[in-house]
Amino acid sequence: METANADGATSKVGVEPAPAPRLAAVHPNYRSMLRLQILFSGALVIALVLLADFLFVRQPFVTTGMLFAALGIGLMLAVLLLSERRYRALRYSLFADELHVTHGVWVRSHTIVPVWRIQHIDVAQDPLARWLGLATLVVHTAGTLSSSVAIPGLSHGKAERLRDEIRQSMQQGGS
Amino acid sequence: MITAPGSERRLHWATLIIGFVRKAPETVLAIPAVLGLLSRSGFPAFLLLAMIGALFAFGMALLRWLRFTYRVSSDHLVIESGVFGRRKRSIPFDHVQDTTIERPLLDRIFGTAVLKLETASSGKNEAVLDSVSLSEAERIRDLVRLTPCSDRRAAAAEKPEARPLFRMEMPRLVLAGLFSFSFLFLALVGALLEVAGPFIGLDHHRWMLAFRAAADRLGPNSLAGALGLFLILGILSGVAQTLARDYRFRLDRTASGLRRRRGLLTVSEVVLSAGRVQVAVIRTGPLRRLLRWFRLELQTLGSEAGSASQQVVAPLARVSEIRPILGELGLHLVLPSATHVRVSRDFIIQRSTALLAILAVASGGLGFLWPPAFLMVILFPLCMIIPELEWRTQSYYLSTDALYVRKGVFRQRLWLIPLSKVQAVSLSRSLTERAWKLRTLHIDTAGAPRFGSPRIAGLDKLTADFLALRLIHSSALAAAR
Repeated sequence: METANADGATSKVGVEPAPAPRLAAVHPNYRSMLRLQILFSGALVIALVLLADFLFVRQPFVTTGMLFAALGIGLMLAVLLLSERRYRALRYSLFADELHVTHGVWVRSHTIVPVWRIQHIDVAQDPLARWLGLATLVVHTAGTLSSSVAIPGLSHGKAERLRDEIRQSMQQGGS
Repeated sequence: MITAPGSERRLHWATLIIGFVRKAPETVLAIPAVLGLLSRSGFPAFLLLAMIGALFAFGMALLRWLRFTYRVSSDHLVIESGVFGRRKRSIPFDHVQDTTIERPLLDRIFGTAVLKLETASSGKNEAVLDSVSLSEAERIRDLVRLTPCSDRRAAAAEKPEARPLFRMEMPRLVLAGLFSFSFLFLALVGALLEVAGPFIGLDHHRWMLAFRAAADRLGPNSLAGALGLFLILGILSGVAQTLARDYRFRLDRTASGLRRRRGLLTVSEVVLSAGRVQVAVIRTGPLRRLLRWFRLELQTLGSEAGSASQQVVAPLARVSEIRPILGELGLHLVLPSATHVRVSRDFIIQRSTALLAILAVASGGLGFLWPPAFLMVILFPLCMIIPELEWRTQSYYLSTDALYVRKGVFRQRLWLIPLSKVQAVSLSRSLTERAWKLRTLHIDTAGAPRFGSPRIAGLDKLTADFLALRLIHSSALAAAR
């Protein structure tokens, strides 16, 4: 319900090209999810490297130590910086029958999907997301590049509300 | 010929032979050959296995033929198929968007045809009757056409018009073949000879010798001779390929859109309904542009993903020939001229910076491992010339009902995107684009190829935002109309 005023303020914009809407960030828990994802994949890489080191390198003491330190530092930096930046880059808004989604740290992209082009909507939850109470809203269109536009890191309730909102404006557009 | 609605029918008996021959390379040759080689007992084993394979293949074809039945009523087609698991599929004619009649070589021998009905946008609910007699295929096609469909708007089965919208005569075909010259096909043939040569009794020394003898005739013992022979073979294969594909190329207007017929050995007929055309693409190469020859392709919705949804409707044509075809689809061609707009000049310096950075990293990184790679640095003038050329050759124009985007330094493309077909837009900013406050606008349409979909690079913020919102809003208005 707290989003109603934001949508109400923007709905009076007509056909004239309007300034970009103010986009909302996803749930703060998404940072934890990103950190955990990076930790998992980083741990996997370290495990593989250590295994390779252990199996093929004759002097395990020096090499494993160095690799471990370098990778550990890199991982910590990535976890700290990347997740925060990725979290901040991911923004979305349902605005005057358009769904706006921005993402990307290096290449920033801003996708606009008109609601009447949406064919179906999914709310997906993987185990990690379920544990953190998050969900991913996926919007499908007939296009190729934007055949599925995903907004990860929404709280499950918010994802369902957003889905219902989109569905409602889809029906309004159809009639 | 017209049967009572609902009577059950089988495919043409020739299907048995056609299906068997089509599968023969794997069942009768490849699998037994591999097994025969593995078993080490050589030729007798191969013969035995080939016979078993042939029997098995024929048995399967017979089973499949016996278990495949279809029924045609006035408004739908019911197909029952499956040897073990039965599948019943009903295709209402008012959902059919495209009908295709194909006649590969074997079908032409037996006087049969392959009928394909295409329905939903996914292209999954495709019904294929492979093969029925030609008259039966035409009868079902006409029944489909008689059924009104929101997408086809066909009121009646139309008779082919006397004057086609576009056709390719022999000289034009040969010219198109000359332009389609490529080494790729030659390389494929060479590779095939290398692999399959020993099997078909062709010693690979023998054809190498033959090649050398022919090359020597052009220029004795020289590289020029070999290159010249390659060039001639490349041109010949290009012409042969084009002839086989586009022989008697003919484009007709129908009540619902366009119909294309072409082919030498395999005659194919494709009906494109105007409502399903998403984007028109006009392509040309460096030489063709100079001589003012263009190629028109239509991106349509419904066929399988990838290049399958790009249909060539004019392989080699003048602008004056392309205009009426587009007009038939309700599209208006605006040529890149004064009306077209170029992007910001900053694009050049931004692209140069990006390319230089990539070159620096690549040459530095590779040079560290292998010092001669440092020589890549001599490529740096290209990093400035290419962006300049890219800037010159890229332009766009937004009319009230379509967006035109031109792109490509050597091979040029001009996209005509009706605003009512825009699915979504997206603005992206890379690291260097951010430094110069530029954006790239990506326009997404249904059935667009994953790579090479239209985009405009180097727009400033204001223009990019304006274009993006205009596209979305105009597409809303056009869709509502």
